[in-house]
Amino acid sequence: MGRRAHFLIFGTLAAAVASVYALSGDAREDGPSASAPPGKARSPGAAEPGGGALRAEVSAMRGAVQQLGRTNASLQRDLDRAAAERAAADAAREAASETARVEAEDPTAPDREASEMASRSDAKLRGEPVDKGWSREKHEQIAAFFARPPLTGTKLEAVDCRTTMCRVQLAHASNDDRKRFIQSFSDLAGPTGMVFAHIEAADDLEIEVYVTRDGVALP
Amino acid sequence: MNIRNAIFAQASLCAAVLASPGIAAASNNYPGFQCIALSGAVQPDSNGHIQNNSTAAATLLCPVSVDAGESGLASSGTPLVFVTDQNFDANVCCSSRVKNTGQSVVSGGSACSSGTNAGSQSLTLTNPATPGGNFTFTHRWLQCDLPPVFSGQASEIRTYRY
Repeated sequence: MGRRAHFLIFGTLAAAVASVYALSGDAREDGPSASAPPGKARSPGAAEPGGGALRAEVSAMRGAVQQLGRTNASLQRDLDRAAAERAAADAAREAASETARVEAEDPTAPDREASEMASRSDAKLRGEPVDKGWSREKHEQIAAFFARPPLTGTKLEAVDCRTTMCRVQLAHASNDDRKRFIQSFSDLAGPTGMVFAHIEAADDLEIEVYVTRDGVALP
Repeated sequence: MNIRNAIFAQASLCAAVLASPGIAAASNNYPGFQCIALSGAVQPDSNGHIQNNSTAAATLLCPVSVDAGESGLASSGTPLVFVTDQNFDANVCCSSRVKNTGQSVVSGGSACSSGTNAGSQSLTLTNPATPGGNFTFTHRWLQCDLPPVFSGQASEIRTYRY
């Protein structure tokens, strides 16, 4: 329950008690003046005109205070229930958010991050001029790589080498051929270059591979 | 600035430094026998190395511990492999690889031993980028090709650092 609610409840109670106290005081002070003229003492056993009405009023106020106490307890219970429900709702929302986050990284989910990296690589490649010497050298290296006997099930569809990166399009005959290629694909780059095989789905046989020049990181 | 503010400022600075992705995590040393064969057959020896005593080449996968909270490129260090190359026809070649839960794989280029001798050679590997940065299930490993035994002498992975 919030602090503000506490203040409200106790403030209401305090106001009610103060009102009862003030009314009681009025009754005590106003009683004699209403029943006797000023300066004249009232006899002890004399009946007080209007005293019964005041007692009834005080009694009613006490009843009102008790009712306020009960209302306060009821409000307290409502606030506690609301706070518990809010906490449960927050916990459920957090759990749902965590589930969504884990599901987003599920192995069966599309490889979004890889797709974005492929897009960045394509954009970078498109913006590069062609370094003829390096491009020719990489074309020869890539052709020699795919001439290896274990890679006969992989067809080299296209190669585009520019200044810092190559894009290689491949078609594999089977998943086993793709696995054999992945096992050795780091040989496509030099010791300080990088290779990225963009594979969208588990049965994707037509893939793109990005190879960077030595010392150049993938975008 | 009162003492409380000064302490708060110091604590904030420490937290920012510790949380910075540019601070590399400490490297770990792993014994070669942690590597397992993807293809071929290898055996550990009493030095904690892993050797290829067979007449066929072997491809090994060497696991790397990746803290789930620090699985990105910046905190993964520079992989280093200590190998023995005793084959005159082929070299020991290794690469560092990374993958998230999808199908795509990113690899650093292959680094290979040179020459042939019974001593140790170190291969410094390029740490590959992680597509998109940090992810909960990013996992990393080293992959090494060990040539077959040559004139009775085996090539091996002694240890690796990541």
